[in-house]
Amino acid sequence: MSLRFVGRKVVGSILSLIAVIIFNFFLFRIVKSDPVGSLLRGRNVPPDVKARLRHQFGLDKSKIDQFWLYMRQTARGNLGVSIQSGRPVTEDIGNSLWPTIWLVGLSTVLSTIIGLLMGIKSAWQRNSWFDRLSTGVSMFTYATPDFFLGILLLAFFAFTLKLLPTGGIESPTGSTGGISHLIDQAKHLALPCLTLTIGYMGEYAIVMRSSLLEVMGEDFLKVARARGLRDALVRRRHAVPNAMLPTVTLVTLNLGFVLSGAIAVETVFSWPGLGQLTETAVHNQDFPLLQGLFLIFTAAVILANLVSDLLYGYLDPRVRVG
Amino acid sequence: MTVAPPTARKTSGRAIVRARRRKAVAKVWATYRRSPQGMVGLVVLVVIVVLALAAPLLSSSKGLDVTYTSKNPQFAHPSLKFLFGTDDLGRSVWTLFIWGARISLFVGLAATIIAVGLGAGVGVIAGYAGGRTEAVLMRITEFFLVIPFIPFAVVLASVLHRSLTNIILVIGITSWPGTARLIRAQVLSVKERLYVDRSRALGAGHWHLVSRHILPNVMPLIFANLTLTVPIAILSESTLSFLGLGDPLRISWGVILQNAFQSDAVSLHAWWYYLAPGLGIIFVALAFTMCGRALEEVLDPRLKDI
Amino acid sequence: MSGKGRRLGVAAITLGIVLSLAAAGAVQATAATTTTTKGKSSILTIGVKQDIDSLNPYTGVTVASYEAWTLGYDTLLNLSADGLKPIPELATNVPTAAADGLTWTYHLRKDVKWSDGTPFTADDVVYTLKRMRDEEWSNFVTFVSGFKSITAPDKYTVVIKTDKPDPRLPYIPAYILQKKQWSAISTKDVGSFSNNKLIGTGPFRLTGFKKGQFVKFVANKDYFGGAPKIDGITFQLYTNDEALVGALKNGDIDAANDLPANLFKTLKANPAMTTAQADDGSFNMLTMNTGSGSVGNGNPALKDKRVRVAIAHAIDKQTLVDRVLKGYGKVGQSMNVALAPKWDLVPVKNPYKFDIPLANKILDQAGYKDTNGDGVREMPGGGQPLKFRYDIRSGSSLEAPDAQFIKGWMKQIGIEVDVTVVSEDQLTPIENAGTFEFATWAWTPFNDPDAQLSYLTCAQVPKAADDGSYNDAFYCNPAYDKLYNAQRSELNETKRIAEVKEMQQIFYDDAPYVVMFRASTLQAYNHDRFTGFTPVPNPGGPIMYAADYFNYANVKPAGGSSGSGASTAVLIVVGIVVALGIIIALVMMMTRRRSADLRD
Repeated sequence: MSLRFVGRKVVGSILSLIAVIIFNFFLFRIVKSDPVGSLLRGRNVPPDVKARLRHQFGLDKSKIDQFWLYMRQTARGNLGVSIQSGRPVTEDIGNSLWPTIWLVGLSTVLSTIIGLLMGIKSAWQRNSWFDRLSTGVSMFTYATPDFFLGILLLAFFAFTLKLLPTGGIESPTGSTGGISHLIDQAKHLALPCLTLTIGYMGEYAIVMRSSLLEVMGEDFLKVARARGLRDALVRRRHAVPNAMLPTVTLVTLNLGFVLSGAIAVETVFSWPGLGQLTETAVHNQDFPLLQGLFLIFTAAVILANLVSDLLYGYLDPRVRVG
Repeated sequence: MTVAPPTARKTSGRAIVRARRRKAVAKVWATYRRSPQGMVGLVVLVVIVVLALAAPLLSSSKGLDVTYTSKNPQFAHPSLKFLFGTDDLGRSVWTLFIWGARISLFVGLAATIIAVGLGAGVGVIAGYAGGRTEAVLMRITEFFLVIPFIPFAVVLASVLHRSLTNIILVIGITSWPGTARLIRAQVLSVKERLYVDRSRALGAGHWHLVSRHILPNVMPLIFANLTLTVPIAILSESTLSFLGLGDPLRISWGVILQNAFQSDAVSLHAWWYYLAPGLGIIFVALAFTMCGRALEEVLDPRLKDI
Repeated sequence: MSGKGRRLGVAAITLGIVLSLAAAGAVQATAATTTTTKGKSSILTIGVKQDIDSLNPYTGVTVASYEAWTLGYDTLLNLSADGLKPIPELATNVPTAAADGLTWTYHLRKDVKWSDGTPFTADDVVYTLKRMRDEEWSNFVTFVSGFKSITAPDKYTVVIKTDKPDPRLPYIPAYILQKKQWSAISTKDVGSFSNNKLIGTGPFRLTGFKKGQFVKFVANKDYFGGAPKIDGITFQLYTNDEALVGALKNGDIDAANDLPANLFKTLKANPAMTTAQADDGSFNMLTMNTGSGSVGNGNPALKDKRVRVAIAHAIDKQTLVDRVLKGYGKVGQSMNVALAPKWDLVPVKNPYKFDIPLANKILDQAGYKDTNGDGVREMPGGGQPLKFRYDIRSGSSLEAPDAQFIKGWMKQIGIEVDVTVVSEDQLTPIENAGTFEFATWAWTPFNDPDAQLSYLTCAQVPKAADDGSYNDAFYCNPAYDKLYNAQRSELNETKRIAEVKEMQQIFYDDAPYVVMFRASTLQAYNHDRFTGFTPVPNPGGPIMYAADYFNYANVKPAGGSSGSGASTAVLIVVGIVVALGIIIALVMMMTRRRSADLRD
């Protein structure tokens, strides 16, 4: 992978990020002309108090000045102050980031592993009962809204069997350390994680299956088989690594979207992550916070794009040269 | 240039084209018919579309007006009178389900038409024009490709008010870039084909080239893409409605699910309230996906093995 | 075992390690934020649905924030649980006005200490009230803006002089802050100050606050009003009803506020639960734009009282209570102006009964007829149809169902409504600009009726869009205003009550609002764990979240054990073992299959 390739990709991502930051400003300031309305959340206050608030948030400046101020602040990592909490947006987002990262990270690992295994087995035993079942299940989960899956799991495991908690990240009365606390957290993590895992594994299985089938049609595998290599060896040494490429790229690419895609699932399970933060920000019309969240979600996609591009470049020799 | 071409020739020319197209469609259909998943998907779709279109015959729209159902029991189990039970306001979930199908399908189709129309337009122009136009258009496409749609929809719904139109717009605006990339690639390959070159050499104008050569060749792809975008749009609608960003007075399947969740149907074990609309979404999305995959196979024989 | 099998076994183990690492990480991520609590048995954990927006009294507006301030801070006087009468708190006396009707003298307790150990004095009181007045703290400014002077003649006396007689005194609903802490916060920084280390004199002390999760208090064992009988209170946030109720039933929490009606029924049947259907004084109304004043473009039909009366007849409040509130509430009458029942006009004279034919008859007689046969009436003599814009708030779970009912009833009397869902902050400017016909919202009155009454005076009719006026109905009646001014300086309570009730009757007759209902706040607690909750006001009021410490003053642990399910832990361990077993079995199966592959 040449340095030029890496450089081009990184610069492209930075340009995208800048475009998003500019877009972000206009989305909020142009469409919504007076954010001070949301500052007051429906409370009526005298005009002079409003003027003071406008000044405090720099809203009495011209749009151009506001824009430069916004750009300078964002460049310095200052995303403004949440209207609702009065704290820096970065702090509020930082607090909610980890629960989401854990949930999304763990479910991505699981769905990737399961999806890949399913896809490999399906492709290798094409048209077997396993293949049919796996493809059927995959398409079914692909067509299922993940929040609906969450509702079904919640209804079954939490409300009917009463096996698992109905929501949250930990029991409020639980102890603060030790193995029981760990179990408590694992219990809370189980359902939302299962929901996202099932929600995404089907897609990965389908992609893995089709890319493996494609690879298997290629000449070098026929050659390998002709050389008398055993099927299992052919599969492990040659077919799977080559077929992994598009799947891994897709998983990485998806990661950026899963972060925001988990919003609805977090809502179902009261998971205190970015999804919940988004929901309360919407509810309270907390525009600085929403703006920050939008930036984070978009930046995640850009980052995922970059990583996936670089990964592709690293793994695929054809790109490495170019 | 010919002066007043004889009409007879013109019609016959058209007739030939028409006949050729009819034949092509018949061929596609013959292949499609052999795909089991394609046929299953099509049957499910037809059933649901008929159900949605026949909604006024199956259940009066008065059943949606809460002032007419205020004597019905709330959260009633499914029974002969209420096929799918009742909701928290005493409305029959069956009535909500078939009327909701209309809104869900409408949003799905409308958003798809926007997305695919926009995507195909950008893709064809970029692919055909090339050069700077292409570079600019693809840059814009890439920009929209990184906008995650739920946060974008959340933001738009917050700055605008909640309405069906906004939901359609949001889904349309965020779903087109994939189509644009796909169509552009196809246009690029069509452009290189010999007969297009010949046509160009013969002095055909841009419009002629695009409408006679490029479009007919990318049309099947656009159509397959259309079929595959509908399920995404329907799923998106349900998610946005579930997050409370839709119009609560226009009942779609997503709105029913949101109402069910908000009125605690889950802990009240009122499974009938959320099961029907949820399964409705799954089946429609699945059916469209199956049709789309079958179509793709028919239109692109290379995929047949996969 | 073939090499492949081993490799997959390794993969399974790796997966196991990844899983446990992830779980451990999650523990780390949250453990850092969890403050240690001594002895969990007598910490009252209340599940709530609303988060604290800010612990800073300058910024915060949510009821949750008020609850936190109530526990952490004190006021000069408090309100008794019975009848909400002023009683001593930081002050030792309940002052009456001096002969001039303007001067109020509060004597302060000498044994009060701030949570940082420093003594509380009159300086703190003077500082707090002056700062709230001068910086116009929006939560408190209406109560202190009329204070002409606030002085401390000695270390434990505060004298307040008002510019005109103020019947709301002597009670001042302002939390007393510590001068030492707040002097360090400049006017410029006060808006962004978090106050997460709240320093107060109150019965509880803040020990931890994690946004989106919890806020924790421990009891102030030296509280001058008597130490609380519990070790602390934790408010645990739940963002959905299902989780909240599940947690209460499972014993994760001891009490819950703001329960959903459907699930409340299931809790009532639960033998461990004590439930409360509390009246917190709030009411939900349909506001009609009656079009007085110069701004706005409301439909002229609503200027006609007969049309508004017809609409009032066409709204079945009982059905709204039954269906939307699931029976948990009272039908509305006139607007409710204060928390204490003594101010309430119940019943109103000549109430509007639900009667669709009568409503139609009134509209027919008034000349609003459907001349073009489209099912919608027009203005007398034809012309503008009775098509109304109707805005509801996206944040309210009641208003979408309300709107569906009202839309249906209006259709039956030939009025078409077009419902738009907007956010609360979008509705305020719409109401202020008068570009609507119908809107729904709710008011929660204060302890004193003055504020609520003032909102509907002519002076509060918006004169320009977005001028911060409160009169959302554009209602203006000189008779109402005259009574308003009379009660505003009436220090004789009996007379004042009579005037206030007369205002409510006038308001009801004019029908700018249709007060639909007064929704009950649904609360419950596990009486096997804690007992002794006190409603404020008593009886009928909320047993928690009344912004009054008396809710919790007598709460004590019940004898019952708080055995958190050891059996479920066992079950989970078994579950994990089974899951691992399945994974291993699967791996084995795949391996065997593979060797089968090898054979052919």
